[in-house]
Amino acid sequence: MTKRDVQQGTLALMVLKTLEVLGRLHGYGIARRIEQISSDLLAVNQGTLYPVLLKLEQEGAIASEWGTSDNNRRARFYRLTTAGRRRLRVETKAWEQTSALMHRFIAVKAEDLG
Amino acid sequence: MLVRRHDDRVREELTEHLTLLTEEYTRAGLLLDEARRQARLKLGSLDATTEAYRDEQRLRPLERTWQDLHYALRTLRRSPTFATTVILTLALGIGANTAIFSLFEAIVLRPLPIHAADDLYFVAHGSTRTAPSSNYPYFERIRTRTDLFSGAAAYLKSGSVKVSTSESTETARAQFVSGNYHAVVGVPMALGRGLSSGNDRPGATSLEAVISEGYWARKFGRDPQVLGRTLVIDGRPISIVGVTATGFDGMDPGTRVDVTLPFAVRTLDTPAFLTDHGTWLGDMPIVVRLKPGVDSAEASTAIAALFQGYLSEPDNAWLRKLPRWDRVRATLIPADRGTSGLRDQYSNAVQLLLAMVGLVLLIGCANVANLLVARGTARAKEVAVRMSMGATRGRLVSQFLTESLLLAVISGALGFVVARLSLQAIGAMIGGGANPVHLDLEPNARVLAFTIAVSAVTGLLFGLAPAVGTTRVDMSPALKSTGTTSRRTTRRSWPARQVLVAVQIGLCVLLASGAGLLGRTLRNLETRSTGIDRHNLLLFSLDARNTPFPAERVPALCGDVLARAVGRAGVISGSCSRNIPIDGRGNAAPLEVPGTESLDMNARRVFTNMVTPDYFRTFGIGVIGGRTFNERDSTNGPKVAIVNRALARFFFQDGNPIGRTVHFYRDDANPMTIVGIVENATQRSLREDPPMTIYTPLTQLREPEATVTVALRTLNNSSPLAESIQADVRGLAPTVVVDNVRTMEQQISTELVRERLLAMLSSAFAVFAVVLSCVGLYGVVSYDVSRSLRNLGIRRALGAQRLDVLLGVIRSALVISSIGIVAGLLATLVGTRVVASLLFGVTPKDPLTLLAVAGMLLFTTVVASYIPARRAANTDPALILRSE
Repeated sequence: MTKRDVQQGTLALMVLKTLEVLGRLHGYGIARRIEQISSDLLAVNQGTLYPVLLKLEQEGAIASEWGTSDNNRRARFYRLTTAGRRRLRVETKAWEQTSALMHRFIAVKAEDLG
Repeated sequence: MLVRRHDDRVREELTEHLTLLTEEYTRAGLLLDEARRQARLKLGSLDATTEAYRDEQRLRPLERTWQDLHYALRTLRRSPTFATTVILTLALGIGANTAIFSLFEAIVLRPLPIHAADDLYFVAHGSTRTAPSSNYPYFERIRTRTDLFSGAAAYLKSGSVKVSTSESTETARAQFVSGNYHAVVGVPMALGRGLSSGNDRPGATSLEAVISEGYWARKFGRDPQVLGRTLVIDGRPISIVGVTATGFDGMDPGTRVDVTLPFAVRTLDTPAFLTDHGTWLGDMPIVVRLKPGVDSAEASTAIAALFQGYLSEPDNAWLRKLPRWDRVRATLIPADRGTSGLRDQYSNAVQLLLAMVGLVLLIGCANVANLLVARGTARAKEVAVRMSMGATRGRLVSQFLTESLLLAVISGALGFVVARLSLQAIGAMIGGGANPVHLDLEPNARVLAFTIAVSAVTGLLFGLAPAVGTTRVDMSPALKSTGTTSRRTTRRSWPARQVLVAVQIGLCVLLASGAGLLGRTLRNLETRSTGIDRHNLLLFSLDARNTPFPAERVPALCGDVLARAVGRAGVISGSCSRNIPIDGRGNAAPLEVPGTESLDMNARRVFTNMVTPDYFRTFGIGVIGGRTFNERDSTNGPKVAIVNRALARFFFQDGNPIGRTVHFYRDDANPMTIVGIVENATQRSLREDPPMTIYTPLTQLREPEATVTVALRTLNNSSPLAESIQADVRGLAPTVVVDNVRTMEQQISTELVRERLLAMLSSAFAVFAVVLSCVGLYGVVSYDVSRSLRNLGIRRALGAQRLDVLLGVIRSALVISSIGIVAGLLATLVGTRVVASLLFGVTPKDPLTLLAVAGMLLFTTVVASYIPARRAANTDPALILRSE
């Protein structure tokens, strides 16, 4: 996995989580929410969100449709699909396991020194 | 289209996103302009995002290609100067290649438009590639071998005949063929049928003919009722039974055949034709069609045996006595392309031109490649962004390649048009003159396929390396927003561009040397002394062959014509003769000179000519000693002769030939006294040295001559004169034809068509190549200068003089150039052997030419590098250092 793939993979997960928590959202909204939580990842380029959205849509994890936003503007809204929910559950679990494992390794090192 | 919808959709989304971001920043307190700028920064490049979006799309291959094309078109439209430069360069290169290939295809490759050309073979004797000789009885023996051949036919080389109507007589080109010719050869017919097989012996059906499509158009206006009409040919009524299809011009492409007549008609004039063993006709090729299942090698062996058998027959003992006949073997050679004098003459020249024009295209490709690399460096940031967003390298390479191929295809289409135009000019050049050549240069499938292939290869050639190179970008430095001089990316491409330019210059050396040699050849031939005065000389022939006008009266007719002509204003003198100089023809015979009996028969061959008294004066041939002919040299007077310097030197060394008696081989009954010596005159071709020539008076002909050439020396070239002469002749002898009216200058010009074509085209290619290389060199030097502006600024600040900087830049350009020149000179020394057969008066390794080429290229290098050098020298050090 290259650095690019890691970035895309984490970004995809963040998108799914955001949609799960906040429900139907347009691209700008998703970007703002992700930025709020992880300010350095998307600091450079909010545009990188859109290829990820397309990939997720092509993979069937999210679906999109045109709608009207709060200030009566035309926008494209994304929502999580059933398959997307399932995927989110699976990947979240995988992440939690990986991070717990890594945490244990790092914790062991510190203890050893003691 | 799906692609378009996705594109529009994401653009709309991005625009909306941008608006919202801008609002966010204005709400945070920024002014509108600043807010917009920050929003843009945050969102990132719209184009890069759209591209990454596109890259993410899972497209079917066809959609991907369409998308690439769409994108490529847009990119090209955004840089019109770049696109125009590339397209122009390549269009000229591809066009030139297509044009020369068309020539090559028409002259060398194209098969005859006959049925199943691969099964047709010539029966060849001896080593000549062109066809062979034979006689009728031998042909009959071959025809009996029905075990090997499904058919055998023979034909005589075409000659001219008189076709008369009630108003006039004109000449046409006719060919005598065996009865089954059309069937065996498989000639496609437009109307009617071919000749019938029984037509070798005179009989009821023998007076028929087949005409060509061209003749049908010219003489009959494509009248569909032409079948059954009668032509009076050489006094005989012949009925037309068929018209051959377009494109068929006999077995010798390039020469015209209007009427095809059966051997039967020939036999009416020369009955012995069918049975004469005693001559071996130099101009009667035999073609055979292999039976299905018969192998050509096996048939070849059988023919060899048949020939040996024929040679050993008692009637043919005389054949075995001719020099070198013991070494002659019979074989079969493929006849699918016919025999072509045109091919023999032009094959080497066209292949050389093809090689040259290929090199020119390579040089053009190198330039375009350099341009693409430069452009690629400018797009490095875009590439880096896209790759960081997930585009694979292969995807980007295929996109860049699509751009290159699109450029190549557009150039190819334009090049095709360029080729059509130049072919018209070339065709006119080859096709004019005294012996017009008929070449069909219309585009056909082969030429089209060639153009497409060349365009595709060109696109790959100049596109692949830059595409791969551009995508091999180290991402981090390129992503930083400055991007002026990133040393790491540019240093790698540094030697590549210089090497490319050096290679271009080397190729220029090759091309320019070739052009120089060919140009000098043309000049050498044009200015070669011919022994005659070629200006203001009007020539035409009086042709009484196969007319009611008796051949014995031709000299007298000539005298009358001359008497009338010379009386006119503007005509200084005139002559009649059997042959004239530089005519491409001539008669030769062995001469017996007392005291030289030991000489070989071939060594004593001299050219013969029968002339009127004013011949030498009319042609401007200098008289060295003795006298020219006069009225005393009449038909019944003592036989006299005049020899030229070459003959005198060979047979008489330093002695005086005047007064000596000579005679022709086996003609002791007619000794001739030499009464004069004249200067040498070129006889057959400008490339040959003037041969030994003996002149005898036209009044003392050994046998009647039915055609003579009339020459008139005039004050200036005037065409009304030709018409009045023709009127004179018609008044004196209406059945005699005035033919082939031309001036001596035109005749010489026609002989040099090939040399002129070579010189012109090779010079054009060389000039084009040099211009391209100069542009390439200019580009490279310019680029290096702009890269090293900082260094230059420092040097100037430290006190370097303007002149030093200028000379420095020029010197570095000269280094690249010199490497290229040296490599090119080495290649030339090796490669010009190829040209040797086409040259005259210069050797392939001619030092003067090579030196001139090297000098010229060094000079153009200085010129090409001068402007960037001046720019470097005039840099203001303060300005450069401040901008860092």
